[in-house]
Amino acid sequence: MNWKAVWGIAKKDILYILRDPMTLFWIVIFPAMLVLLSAYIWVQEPQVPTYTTGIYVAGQGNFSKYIIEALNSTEISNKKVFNIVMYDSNESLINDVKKGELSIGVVFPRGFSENITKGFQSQIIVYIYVKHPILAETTKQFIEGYFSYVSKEMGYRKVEYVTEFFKKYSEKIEEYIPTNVTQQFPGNFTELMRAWMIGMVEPLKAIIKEVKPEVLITKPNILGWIVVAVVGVSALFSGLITGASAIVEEKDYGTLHRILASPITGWELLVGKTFGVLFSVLISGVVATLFGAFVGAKVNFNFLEVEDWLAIVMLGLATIFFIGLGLILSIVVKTAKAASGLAMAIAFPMMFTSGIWWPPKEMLPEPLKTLANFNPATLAIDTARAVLVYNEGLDVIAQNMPIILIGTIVVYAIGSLVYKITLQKHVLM
Amino acid sequence: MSAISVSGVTKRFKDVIAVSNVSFDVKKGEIFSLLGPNGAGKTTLLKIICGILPPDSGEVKVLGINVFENPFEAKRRIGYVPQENIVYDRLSGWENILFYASLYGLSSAQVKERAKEIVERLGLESRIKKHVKTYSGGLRKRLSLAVSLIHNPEVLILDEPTVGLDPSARREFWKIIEDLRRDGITVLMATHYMEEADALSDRVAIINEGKIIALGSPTELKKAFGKLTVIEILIANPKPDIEQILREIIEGPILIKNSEIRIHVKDYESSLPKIVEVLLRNGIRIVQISITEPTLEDVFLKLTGRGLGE
Repeated sequence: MNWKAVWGIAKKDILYILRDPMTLFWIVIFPAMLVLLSAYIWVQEPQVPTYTTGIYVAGQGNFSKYIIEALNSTEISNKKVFNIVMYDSNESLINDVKKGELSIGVVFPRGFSENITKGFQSQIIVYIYVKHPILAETTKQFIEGYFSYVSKEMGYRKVEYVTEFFKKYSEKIEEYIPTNVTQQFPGNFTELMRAWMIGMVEPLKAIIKEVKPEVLITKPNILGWIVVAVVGVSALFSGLITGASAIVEEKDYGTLHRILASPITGWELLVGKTFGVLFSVLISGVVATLFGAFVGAKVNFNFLEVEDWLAIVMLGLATIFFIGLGLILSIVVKTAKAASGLAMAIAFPMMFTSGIWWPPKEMLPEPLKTLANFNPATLAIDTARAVLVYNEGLDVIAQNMPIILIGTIVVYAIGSLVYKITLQKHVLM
Repeated sequence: MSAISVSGVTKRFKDVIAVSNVSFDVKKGEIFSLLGPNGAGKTTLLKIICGILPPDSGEVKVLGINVFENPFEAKRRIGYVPQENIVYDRLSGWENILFYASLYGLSSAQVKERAKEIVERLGLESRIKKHVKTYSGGLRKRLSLAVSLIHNPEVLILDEPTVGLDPSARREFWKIIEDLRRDGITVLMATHYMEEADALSDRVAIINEGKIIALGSPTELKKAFGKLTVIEILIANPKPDIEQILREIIEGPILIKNSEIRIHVKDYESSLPKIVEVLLRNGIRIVQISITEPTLEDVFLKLTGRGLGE
């Protein structure tokens, strides 16, 4: 291997990258933007929008009035949630939902309050405007949660009311209740009835508590989790896009013939080009880390820990894999524009199916989940997160590193073969 | 031993034969030109000789080394300046030289002395630290030559070295090539400028449609022109149908370039009055008439029936 030639190619490319404003955008602005936006959007509490809510009450009653008042006064983080507009017909309300003038339409049918007063189940009809599917789904879940809460509250109030009734009028009823039930509340029939009615109102109460890894509880650690992903995504994008333009750009400049006329092998050209692009990805990584530090991200990197260094090596290997993939494109395509378009066409699906942002890998459909298990971006980022964020050890590295290593070797072997074939077929000419 | 030996080289691109069974030798220390119009196969032939395009058949040796059996050894002996731009705009002249030197495995220390000498020789000293994007066309060409000389090649291959240069920059470039020959460098050059081939070359191979149709020194080639005389007429008002007008009386080759007409005749004393008469009759004003020596373009015209620029 002529290392002087390899270094010469890499050095020339590095100088070119540093002097090209467009490439600088990808390697500096892009990761910086990703970290800043992620820190701003992802780490905030989710924002609940204000819903323009139309209400039509078919038959007046106290309970519908109470619920409308409750809707009107609901606030989250000092922000009003429902902006109420009253309607005098069901049709006009549905029409306005269809036109998108209302986010939500609520209809209280005839007999709504009366049924509640009598102790029967009462229904409420809610229309949701579905234009943005994700927003509509969120709205649906929010409204279901809201009315489920209201329904339970009403149930508990009914329990209190009936309990008061039992206190006054139910001296002899105790005799009709099986003893295995009364044993739980000896001598306190009212409490027994209260417990029984609560069971009716909410037969199953799930108490949900979030258990996060200790290190993820704080905002700096969540930001660290994001920064690792940004470094990985930068490796994916910068590696693929810069790699894809590396050789075809020489063709565009007209310099490729001259390089091919010098005594260097295809390997030396590919390795030199790889080092050049690796440098740009390194800059991206440093930029992401610096901006991460600026927004308060915490990554646990210890200079004395072998696994911390191995996590960095994993990210490096994933980068080399993507550069190799880009270089293959660069050899095959005819123009830099086509190379960059193809690189994008590969990079975006790889990012979306990697499970590193949203949706998480566990929520992907089964075939994509399998793909993600072999996606170097997923493997490298999962490893780096495990080691640098969750403080996990060598086992994750031992599991993921061989896959990336083999993948990278295969990509470069293919690259070298494609280079030889295209050279023989004069496609590079 | 020849500096370059090409024997039976053929190259096809799908159905098009770019180079057809070409053979020639370039002697050590000579300037050898491939003269032919655009698309004649000159660039393809040079790429084959440089080892970047394998031929379908035939053999190429540079200084006795088979270019496709021992490519690295051969490439180390060749300096190649293709027709396209080979210098990087966002690098300085010096950085360009260092880059190309690295491809030949030379270290910065090894390059320093040699680069200094080349830069001085090519008159690049004042601009060598500046970015190439600020260079004129002539300077770029000189830098392209500098980067191709950095590894001290014994054979220099130039593809259309002065295309796009103004006449004074072209003459400066010719002087540099002659200087290099004096230093013992063998120069193989492809050009479609007959003045360039005529002024610089020890020998010229005229190439047309992938085949060498004549080979010899410019004098030999012009002698082979035979007993034909060239009448050169300069006119004031060129017309599109001049060739048609002249065909009334001339059977031989006619070359028209804007206001210049070159006519090949056997007996100029009898032909000239007829030519003048037919031109005047058709309202064409004559500025100057001269009887000239044949040029290489006349040779090409005689051999192919068309000019180099057509």
